[in-house]
Amino acid sequence: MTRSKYPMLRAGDDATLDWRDAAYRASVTFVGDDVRVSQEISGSSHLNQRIQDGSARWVVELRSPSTLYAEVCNLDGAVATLPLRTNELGDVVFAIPGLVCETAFEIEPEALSPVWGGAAVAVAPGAWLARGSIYSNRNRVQSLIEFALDEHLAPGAMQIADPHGDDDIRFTVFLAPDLYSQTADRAIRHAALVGVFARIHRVAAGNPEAGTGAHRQLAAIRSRLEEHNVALWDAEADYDPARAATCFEPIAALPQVEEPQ
Amino acid sequence: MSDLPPGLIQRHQKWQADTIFEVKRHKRTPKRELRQLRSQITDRQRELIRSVERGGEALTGYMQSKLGIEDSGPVTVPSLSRIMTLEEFRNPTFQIEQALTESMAGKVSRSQARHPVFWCICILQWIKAGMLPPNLYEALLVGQGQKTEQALLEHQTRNFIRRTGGIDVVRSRISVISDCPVSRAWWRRTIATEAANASNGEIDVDHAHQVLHASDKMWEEFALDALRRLTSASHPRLRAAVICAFPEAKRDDKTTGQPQLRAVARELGRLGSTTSLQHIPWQELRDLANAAAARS
Repeated sequence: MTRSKYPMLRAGDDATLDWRDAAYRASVTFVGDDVRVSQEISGSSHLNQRIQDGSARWVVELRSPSTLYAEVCNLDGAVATLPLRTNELGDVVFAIPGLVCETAFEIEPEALSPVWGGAAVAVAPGAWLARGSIYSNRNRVQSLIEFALDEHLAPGAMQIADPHGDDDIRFTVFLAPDLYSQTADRAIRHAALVGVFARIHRVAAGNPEAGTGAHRQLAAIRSRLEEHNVALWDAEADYDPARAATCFEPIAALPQVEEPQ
Repeated sequence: MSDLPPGLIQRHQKWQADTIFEVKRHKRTPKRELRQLRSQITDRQRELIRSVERGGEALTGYMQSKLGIEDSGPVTVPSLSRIMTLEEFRNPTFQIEQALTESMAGKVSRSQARHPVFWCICILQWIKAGMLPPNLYEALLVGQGQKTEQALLEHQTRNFIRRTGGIDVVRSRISVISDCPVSRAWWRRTIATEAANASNGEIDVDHAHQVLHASDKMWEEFALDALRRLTSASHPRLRAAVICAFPEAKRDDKTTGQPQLRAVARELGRLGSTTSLQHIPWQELRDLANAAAARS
């Protein structure tokens, strides 16, 4: 027994393979202990009607892997603010917005693309009708680096350890005491990030899931580098850690100081 | 049940990193420096082992100085309802886990429980209060025999860190869920409670807990999937359906489908990308879990 496939709208697509004219947009922001979700479906009076009559419902799925937590929360409307249950959550929280079928209904054939065979499609409760991207309260760079003090390091020194454990890619960057108090300094963060990208290929090599896209962090990093046409760690000769790091966190040039006349 | 101060978490991690010899961290250290470092670490390990041998007062004093706290610091330590024997602490049965965690119900949050230092502070306070076995050496240090003194110290130190909350600088976030008998019991009971509440009345908490308690290896793999994969693997209804599909799991019984349990959890986790596990009818989710169990 398996579940049938249903038409689904993905965020960002102007037209999906499933729907004729419908489009879905979503955004998620984390503000303090709340998550704010804004969603919209355009080009489908059919789906909007289902939202109106309660057959479909706006939701957001929350996940916090470090506390083994996942929940799909119903939202009051297309724009909603949800308080996070901070006692249940770890440092990193993921949110996936979407629209879910709550009671069974049929989608008219005219609304769907011809790949659905020109017949009405019966949708079962629970099917994601629209699903957004994965948002996180931490950007990728923040989640890759963890600073730690090493009192034995000489002033100004930095050392990067291999990531501990294997469930998450997180590099511990050990800093000398004089640097440890200044971890907000962008220069320190950039140096750490370049160092981390110089080592990331080792993690990829040791992680059989890296190439399959199943490892979420490596897959996200890989996709960002590909998006910006930056060589991946697989291409050893072309891979440049500095280029990869600055693809994630570009170095902002200091404003030029005007020379006195 | 507020979260722990980051400084406390970092001090605990730094203490762990300074007290064990992690070979891969020192791969490029010159030999002479490495010998010196190894000797410093061995001294710290001896200091720890001596404090364990001297008993509860000495051990709590030693750890409090390392963590920079007095008494239990910022942690409100839940009280235990019964004194644990050595065997109960080292290898808790389902009934012991049940009794241990019931006394903590509602007093520990997940955001606290994910940190080994939280459990370390609790265990030290319980030792001080005489709730844990008095033979601390046996409870916290002993493991399989090691050939050299250095290897023995390393082994005992790691055992101590594992059994007092977890060794997250080596094993990352799985350690607190899997390595320490007390924190492992709390996590198992918490997940079992959540699964029972999501099971439409089909299973009770004890039943769910027994299935999760059936094998420590299976529990670790089950938890690792939730930590590693960005799927819906942690959804309580998914866990409830998986547990319902394996009603007969018994401890150390290899025939009751423990590897299959993980396979079914993975299959249902993938379902989460097309279906909301919160909104799919319970009976359909149950049937899907049963079908996946039959295939696995």
